[in-house]
This record gives sequence, structure tokens and C-alpha cells, in this order.
Amino acid sequence: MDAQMKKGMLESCVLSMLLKGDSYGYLLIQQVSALMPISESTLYPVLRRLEAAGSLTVYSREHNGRLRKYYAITENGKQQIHAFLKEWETVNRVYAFIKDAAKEETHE
Amino acid sequence: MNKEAYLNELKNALRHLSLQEQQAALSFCEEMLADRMEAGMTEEEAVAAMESPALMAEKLALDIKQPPRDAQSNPAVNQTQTDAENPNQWQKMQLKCAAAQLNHIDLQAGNLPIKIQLSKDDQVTLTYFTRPRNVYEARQEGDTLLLREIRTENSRSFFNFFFNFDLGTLPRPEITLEVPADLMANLKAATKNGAIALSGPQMLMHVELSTTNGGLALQNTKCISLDAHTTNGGVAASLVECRTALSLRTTNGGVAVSDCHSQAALTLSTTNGGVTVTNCTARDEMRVSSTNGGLKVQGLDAGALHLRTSNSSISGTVQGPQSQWQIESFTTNGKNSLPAFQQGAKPFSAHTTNSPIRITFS
Repeated sequence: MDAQMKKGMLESCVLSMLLKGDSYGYLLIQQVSALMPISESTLYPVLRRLEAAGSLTVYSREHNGRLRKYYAITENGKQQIHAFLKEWETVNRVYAFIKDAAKEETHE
Repeated sequence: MNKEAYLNELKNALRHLSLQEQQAALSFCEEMLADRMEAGMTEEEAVAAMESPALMAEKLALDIKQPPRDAQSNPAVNQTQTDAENPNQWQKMQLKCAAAQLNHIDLQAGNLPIKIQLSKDDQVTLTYFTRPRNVYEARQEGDTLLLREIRTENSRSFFNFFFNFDLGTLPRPEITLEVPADLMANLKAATKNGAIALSGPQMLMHVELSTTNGGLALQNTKCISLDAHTTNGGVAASLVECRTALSLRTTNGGVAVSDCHSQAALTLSTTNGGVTVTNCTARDEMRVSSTNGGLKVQGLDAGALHLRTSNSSISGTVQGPQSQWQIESFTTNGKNSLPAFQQGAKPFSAHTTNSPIRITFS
């Protein structure tokens, strides 16, 4: 898949996990991996970018004697999800068109 | 490979990055390893489950070369309008006032971050931004400098969503207020999705800073009173001095405060987050509290000291000798280095649950 598309998808994927509730690194990897395999070296830059864009905030909470970073979605993040969904309406329309055109081609 | 060796290799692989970036990436991976071990893996297994440090460093380097999403134009969204027509294009504005005439500054910023810093001259300069769909206006009314958003199209109506949508792909501008160090005025700054930074002024009067989604960063400031709060965001303060109440509050976020002093009360509180307080004093009451987060203190002194949290430890040092404090401490399921009760002159209480209290007196 095109790298830019995948990035956008991953970002929105992570954000929609956060819609269900705040999460932390390890848990996020497991949640996202259920959809598409992801490693920490992929997840980390995504989280970094989302924070820089103001789509999520980070806070620390003590867990078993150590500090754990939790991520929470922001209003900006929710808007980002809506934007992603809107973009993909176009993708779906184009896909349907191409699929249709290809079907006609093979039937000739 | 064991955990320490892995983290050292990672630190080496990241050496080209800024210290801040290195620290952040390291703590992310450290957490990942700790969580894996908590899930039942041995140290070796947890390290084996991680990717090579070289790969992490490579992906981070790629990402840093490409600036964060914020500053990049998303090709999927066509901006067919010219800049002049583009309702999303910010226009920079500036308003200058003489400092001597100002007694009040009142900024309400909507979704933009606010930065307050020292000016290079003796004027007050407000640099802000406006655009057709978020019209900001700054004006001086008598002795008050005001910034208001007088028109916003961030409403959620169907029309606005689909036709005026702003992905935030354009860089978000920052409102900057530059003041002379000796400006004597009340300052009120509020924003929703944005951080607030304050640094420099020494003679402010009553300062109130509030944001919803964004951090607070305060340093090297003196004022009469300070009340700064955020909901989702951390609070960092150093070298802040108040003649009366100093209060820093957040809900989801940590609080890190050092070398701050109040000649009255000092209040630091968070709900979901730890608090780290170093070398802070208050003449009257100092109250440090969290609901789900550890309290780490160092060198605290006050007329009365109260430390409160639950399910997390309270640890660190308090200005001694121990005998000057009237101590009342309480925890469940945890070691407590303090006596439950001790007579003394200055009240000091430390309460938590399910965690140790490790306070010593220096």
C-alpha cells in the first residue's frame, strides 16, 4: 500500500482505538495488531506525530511502581478521524468505478 | 540479550537525535519491555520480541526528516482556492500598546496556543492571527488589552463539516504576547486546544491561565497571584514566585514543579498523573495532591504541608528537622517511614492507599 495512505490509516486507526478510551503503548500495539500487524518501531512515530499535531495528549500515571504513559484523544483527534472517513468516501467511489470498468473489460 | 544491553544499544542508535527525542524513545521502549514482562515473558523473551534498535532508530530518523503531519500538506485534500480566498489561510496581525497605560490583559484564543514572553523594547506587543472562518480581533479599551475570537466557523453543522473542513494540515499559528519585564498588569489568558507558555515578566499582578487540551509551561516569572489550570495536559513550572496564592492544576497530566515559592499558599493538584515537586516553599499551606499518581518531593518547606494521593507512593525529602513537624500520616498495604502521629509545630500530613510512604527529613 502507498506509504502516505498507510500512515494516514495507521494514525486514524490509533485515534479510533483511543475513542474507546485512553490507552498505553503495549495495549495499543495489541489492539491495532488485531487489524494489521504493527511493531513498536511503527507505532512510536505514529504516536509522536499525533501528539505533534495535537490529536492526542500524553499523561503519566503510576503503575506498579513505575510511570506509564497514557494517550488520550483530543477534539483535534476526533476531527482527524472524521477527515479520514471523508477522504475514504472518495477512495471508495473511485474504487467502485475502477472495479466496474475492469469487470467490463474482462467480459469483452 | 538482556534489557540493559538492549536499551544501551538503542541509546547508541539514537545518539544523533536531540536529548529530548532520545529520552522519549527510550522510555517508550522501556515501558514496552516492562509491559511484556508483566504479561509473563522473561527478560530475554521480552527483548527478543522487540525489533532491533537499529530499526527503531531508522524509522525515527525517517519520521523526523519528514515533519509531523501538522506542517505537511495532505495531498488527499485539494486546496483549489487561492490563498486570498482560502478561508483556512491565517493572516498575521499585530497590535502594540504602551505598557504604562495597561492594567489588564485579557486574551481568549479558541484553538490556538499562547506564548507570553519578554519583549525587546518597552512596549506590549500582541501578535495574533485571523482568517475568514476564525476572525480574531485585538483592541485596547481604556486600560485593557483584549483579544477575542469574534467569529468562528468551527461549528459542527453538516454544511461546515463537509465544505469548510480544516484538517489542521496547515501549521497552527501561535499567539505571542511580548511584555516588558516590569509590566504591572493583571493577565488572563485562555485557550481550548493549545498550550500556554509564560516566561519572563517580574511584576505581573493577578495571573490566570487556562486551557483544556494543552500543557502549561511556566518559568522565571514573578507575580502577585497565579492560577493556572488545564484539563488534558501536563503542567511544568520552574522559578515561579507569587506573593499570594500559587495554584497549578490539571486533570489528565503530570505536574512537574521546581524552585517555585509562594508567600501564601501553594497548591499543586492533578487527578490522573504524578506530581514531582523539587525545592518549593510556601509561607502558609502547601498542598500537593493527586488521585492516581505518585508524589515525588524534594526539599519542600511550608507553614503547613499536606501530601495526598491514592494507589501511589509518596516519596522524597522534606526540610527538617523532623521534630519541627506535627505529623499525621496514613496508608494501607504499604510501608510508612513516617510516624502515624507526632506532635510538633508545623502541620504535615501524608495520606495514600495501597502504597508506601517514604519520606525522610533533610
